[in-house]
Amino acid sequence: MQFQDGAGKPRTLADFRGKLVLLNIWATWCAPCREEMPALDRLQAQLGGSNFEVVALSIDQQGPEEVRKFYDEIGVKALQLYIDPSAQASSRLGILGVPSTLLVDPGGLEIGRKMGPAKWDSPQSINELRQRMIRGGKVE
Amino acid sequence: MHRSFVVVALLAVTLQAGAVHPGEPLDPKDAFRLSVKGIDRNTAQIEFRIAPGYYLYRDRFRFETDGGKVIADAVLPSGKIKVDAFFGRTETYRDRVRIRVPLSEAERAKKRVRLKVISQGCADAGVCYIPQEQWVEVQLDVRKLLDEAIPVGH
Repeated sequence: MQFQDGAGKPRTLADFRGKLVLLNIWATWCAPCREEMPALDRLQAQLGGSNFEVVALSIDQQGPEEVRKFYDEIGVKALQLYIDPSAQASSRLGILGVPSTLLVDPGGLEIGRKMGPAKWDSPQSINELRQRMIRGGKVE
Repeated sequence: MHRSFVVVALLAVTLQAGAVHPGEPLDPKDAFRLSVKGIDRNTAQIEFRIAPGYYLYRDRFRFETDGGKVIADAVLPSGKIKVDAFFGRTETYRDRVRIRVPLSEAERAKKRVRLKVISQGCADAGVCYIPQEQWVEVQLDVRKLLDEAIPVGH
């Protein structure tokens, strides 16, 4: 599954091997996606690092400028810009609607998914993710 | 391959926190049921039956011929005003919408007309569907064509 970063460089999920990844598929034309983006940014600020990353992957067809504009608008600080204008990712992952969020273990295997918004930076979510990072993403 | 059966504890936590709505959203084809018919020799009528709790955006419809030509003069009824925190004032359709799509002479010359219908909608539960591209095929109303060709009383 290929996508691009903010500089147009090709990226894949394999680039995040070794990290627990919260992959959020979203679009600027989706109001619920826009609403949860600040929580995802705070989550990345709090937990992002060598063991965890929030990958917010936009499927906007207009390209990265649209996403950059939105990031500036809401003052994103920690999230990186990733975009899949071909929507290849959503198609390959079988995603019908956004936001859709997948939890991917450090080995690159999907361990859960959810369609619809959530409070990703709630204390319960952060605690759960921390526990999962300690267990190396394993489902108990 | 995804493992959608895995309901991780993370999801359980967010559900407990009341941050999400229970139940999986419908497949878009079930949420927005599309049908088409010819209503006279010049016009196709596109109808969407929209499931409760779902809506379509008026300004996100697009119609194209099978030759890729955009049909810009489709007649869309007024929608219900939705004031969105991000997009401001938008018009949406719920329950049902009927859209009249005028057909060009070249299209009318065909026995069956193929149209591409692009639509985009969301669920109140907080999910927006990826724009749907669907092909429909319409036969123009043969009875009306005959009525016009052989007026009653002649």
